Amino acid sequence: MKPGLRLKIFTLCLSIAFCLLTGPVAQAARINDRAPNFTLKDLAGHKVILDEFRVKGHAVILNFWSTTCPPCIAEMSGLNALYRDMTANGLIVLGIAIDSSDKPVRELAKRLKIEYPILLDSEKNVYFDMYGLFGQPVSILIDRSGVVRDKLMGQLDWNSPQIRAKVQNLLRGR
Amino acid sequence: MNTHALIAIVALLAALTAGCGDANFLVYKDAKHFYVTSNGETLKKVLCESGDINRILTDSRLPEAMQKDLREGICSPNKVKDRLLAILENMTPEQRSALKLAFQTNGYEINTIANC
Repeated sequence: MKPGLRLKIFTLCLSIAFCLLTGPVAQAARINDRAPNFTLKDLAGHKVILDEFRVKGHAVILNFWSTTCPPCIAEMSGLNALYRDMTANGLIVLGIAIDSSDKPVRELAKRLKIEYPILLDSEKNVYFDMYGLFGQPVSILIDRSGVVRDKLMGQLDWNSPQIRAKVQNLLRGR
Repeated sequence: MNTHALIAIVALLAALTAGCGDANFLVYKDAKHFYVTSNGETLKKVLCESGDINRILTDSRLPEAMQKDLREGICSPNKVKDRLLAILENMTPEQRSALKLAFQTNGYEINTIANC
């Protein structure tokens, strides 16, 4: 093989390997794209890594909210009930609070007896920078393989048959 | 009345006037909330006519073409909400981070209350 051709093949292989290793640049959380991975702290100060749930084969609902958002607060009890009912089937709910201070988040989570993990995104690094979201509440449904399957805007009745069916499909979808 | 109660009331009013199920980009400065996608007088005065948008975009150090698109998308009288949201969604996380920081540096906070 000519040295020039060998160099070209080597460069091509290197480029393909680079593309495969780095993957596409995530612009925002889009349906049918891999959910951007993140690490946030929960109310106890423990680090929570989204990708760890994919590795364990869980479906995940990311619920972005804040204590200054009445519709967000209104839907939390229903979301808590859904979590309680479906966590044994592999559903994880992560409530991601975008408040700038954690005190009101703690107080509200305690008052509403929220059982799912509440994570703190006070700088909105996940909400705005990584996921490119606007408005609250907004929920991202991620299947067991880590792919975004739905983006739901506004307050939801998490116990309605339609939403329950959607979540059941999410859990079945691996 | 404490600050949280006041913000909650403002949020509720905003929710009632804005309608649900709609993505939007809300900013807050000097006790004024408004949608960046709106054509309202508050946005025009606070963000556009004051020169804040120019300072924000300069501080963001985003590419010139993107700054131009954002300036037009936010301050042009012929703005199209979906086009502006698409620009924001198509930015890289680093670019959105730079824009957010530029808003904050110039005294704005983003999406502090519900828009639904």
